[in-house]
Amino acid sequence: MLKYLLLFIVFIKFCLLGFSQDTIKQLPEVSIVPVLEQKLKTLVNTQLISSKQIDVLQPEDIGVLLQKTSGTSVKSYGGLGGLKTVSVKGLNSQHTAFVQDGFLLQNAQTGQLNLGQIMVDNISEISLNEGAKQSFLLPVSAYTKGSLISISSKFNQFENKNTSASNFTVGVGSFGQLNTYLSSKYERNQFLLSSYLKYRKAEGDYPFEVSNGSQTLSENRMNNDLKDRYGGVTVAYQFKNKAEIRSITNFKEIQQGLPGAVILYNNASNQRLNVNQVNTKLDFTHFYKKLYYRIHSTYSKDKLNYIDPSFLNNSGGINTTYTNDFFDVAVSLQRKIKKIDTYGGIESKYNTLSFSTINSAVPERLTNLALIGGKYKFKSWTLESQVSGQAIQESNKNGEKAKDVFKVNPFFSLQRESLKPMKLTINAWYRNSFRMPTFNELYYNNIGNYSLNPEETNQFSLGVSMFPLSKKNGLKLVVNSFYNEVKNQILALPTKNLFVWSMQNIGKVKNYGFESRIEFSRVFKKDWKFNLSTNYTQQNALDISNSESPTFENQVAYMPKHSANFDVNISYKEIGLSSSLMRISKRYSLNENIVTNEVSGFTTLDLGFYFNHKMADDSALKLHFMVKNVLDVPYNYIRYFVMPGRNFLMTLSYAIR
Amino acid sequence: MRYVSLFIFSCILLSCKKEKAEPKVSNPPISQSGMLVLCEGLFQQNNTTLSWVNLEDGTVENQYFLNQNGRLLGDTGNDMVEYGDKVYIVVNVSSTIEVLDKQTLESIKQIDMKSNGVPKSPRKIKFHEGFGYITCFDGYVDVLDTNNLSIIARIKVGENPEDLTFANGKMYVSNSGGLNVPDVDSTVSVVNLSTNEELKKITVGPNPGGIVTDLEGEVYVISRGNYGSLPSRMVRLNSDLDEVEETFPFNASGITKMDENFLIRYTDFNALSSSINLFDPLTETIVQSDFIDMNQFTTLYGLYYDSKNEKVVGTDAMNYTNSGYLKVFSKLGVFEKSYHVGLNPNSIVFYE
Repeated sequence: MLKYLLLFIVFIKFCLLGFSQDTIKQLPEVSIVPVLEQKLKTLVNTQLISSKQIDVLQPEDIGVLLQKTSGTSVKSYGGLGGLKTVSVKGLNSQHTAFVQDGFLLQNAQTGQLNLGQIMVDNISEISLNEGAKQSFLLPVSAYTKGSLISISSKFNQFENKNTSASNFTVGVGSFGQLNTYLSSKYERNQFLLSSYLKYRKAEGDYPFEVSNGSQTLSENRMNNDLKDRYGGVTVAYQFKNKAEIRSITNFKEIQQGLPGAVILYNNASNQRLNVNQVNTKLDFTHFYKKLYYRIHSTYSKDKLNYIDPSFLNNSGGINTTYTNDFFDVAVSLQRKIKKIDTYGGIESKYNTLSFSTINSAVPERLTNLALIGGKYKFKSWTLESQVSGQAIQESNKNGEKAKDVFKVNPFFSLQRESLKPMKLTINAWYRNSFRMPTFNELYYNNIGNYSLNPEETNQFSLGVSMFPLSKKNGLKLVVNSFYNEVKNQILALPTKNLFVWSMQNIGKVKNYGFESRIEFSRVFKKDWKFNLSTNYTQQNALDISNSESPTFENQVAYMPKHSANFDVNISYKEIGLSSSLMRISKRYSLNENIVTNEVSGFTTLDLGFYFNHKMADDSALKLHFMVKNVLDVPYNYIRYFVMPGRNFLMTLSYAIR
Repeated sequence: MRYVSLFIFSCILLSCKKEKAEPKVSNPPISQSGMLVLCEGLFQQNNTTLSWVNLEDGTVENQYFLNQNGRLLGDTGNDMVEYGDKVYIVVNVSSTIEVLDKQTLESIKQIDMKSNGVPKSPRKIKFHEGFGYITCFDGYVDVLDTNNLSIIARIKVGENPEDLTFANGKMYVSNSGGLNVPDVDSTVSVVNLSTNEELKKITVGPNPGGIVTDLEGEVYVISRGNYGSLPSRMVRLNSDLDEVEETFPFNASGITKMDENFLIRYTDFNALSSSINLFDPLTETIVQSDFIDMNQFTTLYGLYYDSKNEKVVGTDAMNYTNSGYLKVFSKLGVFEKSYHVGLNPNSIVFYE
């Protein structure tokens, strides 16, 4: 196996030499990015995950990384490619916007993205952003949600030099896991071309243990296999007059088994899911006099095919395809007007969903958004404010349609920074936002309820960050306290009987707590690097829907009260060791906080060892060995959706410049 | 600084202690009068439980099966019926029949209800002359020999059979076809009990559900309609001719026998309100409307009659995600007492 691998690498390298020879050889940018400097970019309301951290953690998907941030809780149903969602500060996943390379990622059917299907191989940075946004020329939608997760891809930006680079990665892991990833970039004379391709497969048949009273059920996960392919091509051109045009096309193809919950005494499982997605994005960015503007557009088609051959209907099972189409076109602007940094934009989004079943709804949604914001700095104070307007029109070619919605939502932020004796930032912000009911919530067969109202939130935050400025050590402390309320929360309730649920605007939730982060890094004796990053979140997510209900002021289902991470990374020259510890406290599977609904807390520990070898010709070889869940702890996020025990992953990566 | 991280680190480790369930001492055989309640739980949570309501001291024990057997019942227990000295529990999603000793509530046998590895999805069980008959959502009624506790035959009936009753030496099976919504079934299968073969299908109306036999041998079945334009009705069948005799003009979604009479409940799923009327199957009329004060219930889920103690007991499923209640009424429909039990209580076995 290894022999073939090396042969393949030599082959790739040989092929690439062809066009790398004639490029003007340049030393790569200082690759030893001082960790200190990078951390300095971190602000009180933003958490950054760098490609270096991604390398160290070797995550399966972006969900694993978001678990490492504070103030968030990830729900994972287990298995590679399995459903994973993130909740930020107790707001459910539909309140978080996702942007990749400045383009909106969206699914109107479920209102959320499956983080298990967002790969990290070609990611250079992820930021989780609350409060004021740090990024530039984003689509309006990115500003209007409770929080923003912004993903930057490698190889999609100009380095402004003639260069070519390639990367080949192969990984093997427990439970029949194989990953291969290939990417390349070519930049010359203001022209950029890059592409990537990823292929994964896994059996996913991991052993698990589930306690059944005083007995223990030990079995292997069944129907948990996965095969997927991801790929993309980017073409970009820089004009002489500070303008740039870019086109990005991505696809994904996924075939997977859906193992479902572990059902006692019944291990039959044969549901399948096939996903096909293509998206293409285009943007034009120009710096004209004092105005930055960006015109951008996205089109995506997302097909989801669900098969349940053992459903006991007379057509011998379920085989349904859902097709989501999304198109948007937008303009984003930024200009300094006197002392105020002004920004804003307009955006038009069109979403439609079609079910393959007859008599199903065919919903369409047109959303028009506009935003204006300004940032004003006076001495150590920064005041920022935004207001956004959204008009949403619904239609349904086959049945009743949802209500049209028009809303105006404000945002305010006030920040004070001082530099002596240490850099101290105090920040307070308020945001009012909402999320539309999803197409599933409105129209799905018997469950949907077209008279639903949007779910509304009010968020308040007060935070402080500090770090002493020292050349040797980087220490950073952040504490954020938060309070938010969700009104008209959309919840599923069984109505006709236990098998037929319906969506209702009945929930009201209040969330409060704090998140704290300590980051510390130090370089000593030149070659030794030490990096520590730890966080702790305390979160009360209380059901306040009805004071008569037995669940009044009980912790909402699946929201942990405490969660913590403790990550350490030590490296010496070319070798490094990493340790990643995560603790999630006890949760409840239903809103009623009684013993029978308890889901135990858990601690997982991942250990990694890596070796980065830089060769004389500027190419680099990286070998990474990970042991995940070293303590072999049985755990689950969702009751009876078991997660794997101790498992291994070995990755070999080869980069050529 | 280092101390801070050390402190956090040790906090995390300290909080890692294993949480182990305390071993419970099992209860002695039941000798008191009381109610054994099957609490269905919720789909994919394996949280079907048995609650024991001790009527002598008024106490409730909510994990009775677990305590007696050291394991869980499984996922979505749909029905529980006593027969002879045993209690039979139909567990739908786990696809098992749990056979318990009625006094100790220890499991005698767990019958696996799968056909070539595919779950049969059993729903309800009724007994007749030494045999148990189990409706299975895969389109069959399974025949259980209560002597050796094994399935001896499968009778092909309609789609997603829900419930069954016996009359005139025959078995009547309501075929809901509920998994084919909106194209539900609308028939009752008539089965010859000596050959275990379907004789005919009677069309009664969409989505047949609860089915009972009165003292005269007439069969009454609920056709649940479509929860919209087609109302939920009770239909009377003649068991000699095996034909529909009458469709009653009032709303009905469930039938509970109370001595010679029926308690007919109706839930309006749009208004989320329920009512219970007293019906006389001899005169075929409602003899008393609003027999029970429905304000006692958030969500009426099951209705039972305890003939020895002459009590009517309704189960309240609350919002289906919070643990439920039993509401006890006198035979005249006067509220007496309430007991807090497990999640989604649906069946009761009475102990004298």
